[in-house]
Amino acid sequence: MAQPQQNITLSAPGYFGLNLEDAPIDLDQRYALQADNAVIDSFGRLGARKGFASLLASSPYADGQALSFGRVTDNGTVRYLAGVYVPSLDENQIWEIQNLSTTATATAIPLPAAYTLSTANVQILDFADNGIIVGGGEMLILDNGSLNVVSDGPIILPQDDTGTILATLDFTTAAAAYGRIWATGGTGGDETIYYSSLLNPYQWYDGKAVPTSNFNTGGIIDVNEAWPLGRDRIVGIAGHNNNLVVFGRNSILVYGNPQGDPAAVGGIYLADTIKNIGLVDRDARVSDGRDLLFVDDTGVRSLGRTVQEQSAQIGDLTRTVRTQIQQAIKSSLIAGGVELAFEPTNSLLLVILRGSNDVWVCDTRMPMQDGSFRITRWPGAPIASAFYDDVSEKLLLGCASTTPIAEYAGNQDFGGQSFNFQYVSPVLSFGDPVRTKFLKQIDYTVVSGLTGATCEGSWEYIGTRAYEKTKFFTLDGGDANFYDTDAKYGTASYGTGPNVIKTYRLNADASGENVIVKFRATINNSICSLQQMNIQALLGRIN
Amino acid sequence: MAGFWESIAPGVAGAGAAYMGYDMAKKLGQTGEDAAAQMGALAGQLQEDTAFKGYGVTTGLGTSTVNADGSTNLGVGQDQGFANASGSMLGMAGQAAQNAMMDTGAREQEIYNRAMAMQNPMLDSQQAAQQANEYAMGRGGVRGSQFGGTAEDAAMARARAQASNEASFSAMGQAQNEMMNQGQLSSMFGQQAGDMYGQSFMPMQQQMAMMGLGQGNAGMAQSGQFTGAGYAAQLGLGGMQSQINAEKAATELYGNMFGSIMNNASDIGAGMDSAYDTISNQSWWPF
Repeated sequence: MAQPQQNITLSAPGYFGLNLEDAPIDLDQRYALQADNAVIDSFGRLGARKGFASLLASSPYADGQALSFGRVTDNGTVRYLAGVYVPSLDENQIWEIQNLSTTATATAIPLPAAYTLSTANVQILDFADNGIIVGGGEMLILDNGSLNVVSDGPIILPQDDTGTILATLDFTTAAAAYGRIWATGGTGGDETIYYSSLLNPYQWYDGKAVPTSNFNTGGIIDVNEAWPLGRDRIVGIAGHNNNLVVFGRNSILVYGNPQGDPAAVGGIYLADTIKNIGLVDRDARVSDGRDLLFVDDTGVRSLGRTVQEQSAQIGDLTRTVRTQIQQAIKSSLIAGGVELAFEPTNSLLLVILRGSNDVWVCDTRMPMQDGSFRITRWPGAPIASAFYDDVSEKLLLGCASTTPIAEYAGNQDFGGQSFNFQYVSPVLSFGDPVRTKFLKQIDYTVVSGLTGATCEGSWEYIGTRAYEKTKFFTLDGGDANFYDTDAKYGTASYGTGPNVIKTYRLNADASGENVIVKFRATINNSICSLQQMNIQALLGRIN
Repeated sequence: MAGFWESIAPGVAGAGAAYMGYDMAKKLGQTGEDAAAQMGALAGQLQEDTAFKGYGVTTGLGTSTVNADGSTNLGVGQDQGFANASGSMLGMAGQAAQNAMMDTGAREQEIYNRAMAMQNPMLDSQQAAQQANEYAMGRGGVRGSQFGGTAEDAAMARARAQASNEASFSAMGQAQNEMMNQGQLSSMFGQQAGDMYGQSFMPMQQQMAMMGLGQGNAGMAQSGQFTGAGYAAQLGLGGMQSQINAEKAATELYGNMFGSIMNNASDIGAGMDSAYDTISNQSWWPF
């Protein structure tokens, strides 16, 4: 006797993003086991990411690789800077990006005489109407378009009556916050924070009985005795929620009230310590405006804003991919480091795994009930750094190869290259894992302007009878303002403009206890989102 | 015409008288010479008798002698005990004076160190409590240019500095007082050294005083000596004068006698002439 055909609808498949942690069977069907080159689009659908479009119309060296970005105000002039490695010269340079909002070009800013930038992965700080560059050797200052070594200026190096404490300002990590530069690393050690005088990058700690300048409020914070784990090293510093957050590798120190003179009565104080959680890399932190997001060994975490409670809340934002991202982070730290970038226009949080050509993407619009983000992944993305400019609303991408600087725009990579958008559903049991399922039909409802693009629809049985089959179908994005209820291939189509929602029906076969459904589209100059999937199956006997 | 004898006799008598006179004069001269010799001897004797023989004074302090040539040996020197004590005291005075003139810096530092050593345990305790409180407040490790450390550190540092300043000023005052004391000690020691040095000459002064007494006694002895010598001289001179006078008288007597003889010789000659004549007139006289 024929069994009634059952239908399972996966509305907004992958809307919850990846979940590789929970048991795959009977996982919420809105999760995905794979969401490559995908984002959660503005309608809450899993869709293909935008492309990586080359940004620069001209650049000093075509083989340059931007590893860091910064927007600074130099004596009233806004400048966009990039730390660029030029392989053909085996040289690190600082480029200025002009006309970012229109036709962007880049020029190299001459480095000070006899100065060698040790790395292009620098920190570019906007501080006191100047640009400050940290991490490439001695601290540089951008003043009226020229780069100078800070200590060549009217410098007061960290000193006391015994002499100069720190002769070289070769910090490796810093933050510009609360009117000061807070810096550490290099010769000064990674357990001591040197903070500048207020809005003055030239004046640092002066502990002499008769200070060189009476206006100097620079100072030092020795965090050696503050670590909750006995010993740690500072990896990053950030201002957040009127606190100065000091990220150790395995612990976090939260200093309160960094405003004013930190050393004065009622000044800065250690408000909280967090242990067994830290920052993996200097640039693996960013603020999304609500929380301070950072990457530790277990994934992306958040340091929440707290007003009434003293302790900062810690969120585990990549809980659903914890094991996978943990391994990816570990590999990337060996290969080149980790960077976190926030793109508010599309609410994207990029976990850039340098050297691995791997980017994990968190959708920050609406966290899940457990506070975690919806996560997708951009495997193979050659991105080393990212920077969002809120004026031009462009997400600049420093690329490890191909082009010095790209932007997150369009629907092709690097001027014409296509990329694959892929979705894999959770293991579907139709609510009855013990019965055999006979898939009859799979309907993919796709939003796309792609015409003629070949897509792959796959189904795979998981269990005692492993079976996988892929069918191909061609997308028909239709014409602009196209509307038709009598569609080709027995499909209905509707929509406006080049992006058309269409349903593509595939006949399925074979049987098994549990099934995974897949979708893959080659993105080439058009959007593509997966709006819905209907899977029709017959339920068989109990195995 | 006078006879031969008469003529000769006076001559012979005169010759005899001249001879005798010569002999007398010679004797008188000899007597004078003898007197002169005796006077010389007397003078020598007197010189010897009246010569300064020197004298000596012997006391419990020592024996002083004044030699015949007037050279004086007091025979008593400085009191070495006092002299040595004076020297020692002078040395102490010099040391104290040197101390008084020294730079007070080193001593100030020493006093300061001791003062701070007394205060440091308390200050350290306060600082430890302050630092503990600082860390409890989450303020540990913070150092600012305006305060050197934190403002709390600066307060503690001010307390330390205040204690240090007080100790420093106290050390300066104390050191200066000590220097003044050293100056006063130097003066006192110097005074005592002078006194002791003076005291060291006291035996000599006392011996000299005794020599004064001895000098009186020696004067008395010499007066007796002079008196005896005077007497001896007078007696000697008197004796010689008497001898001379006697010689003179004898001489004059002889002179007178020879004059008489001479006068008598003429008569004798005349007699002899007469005798001669008588005789020569005799037959037998062969002539």
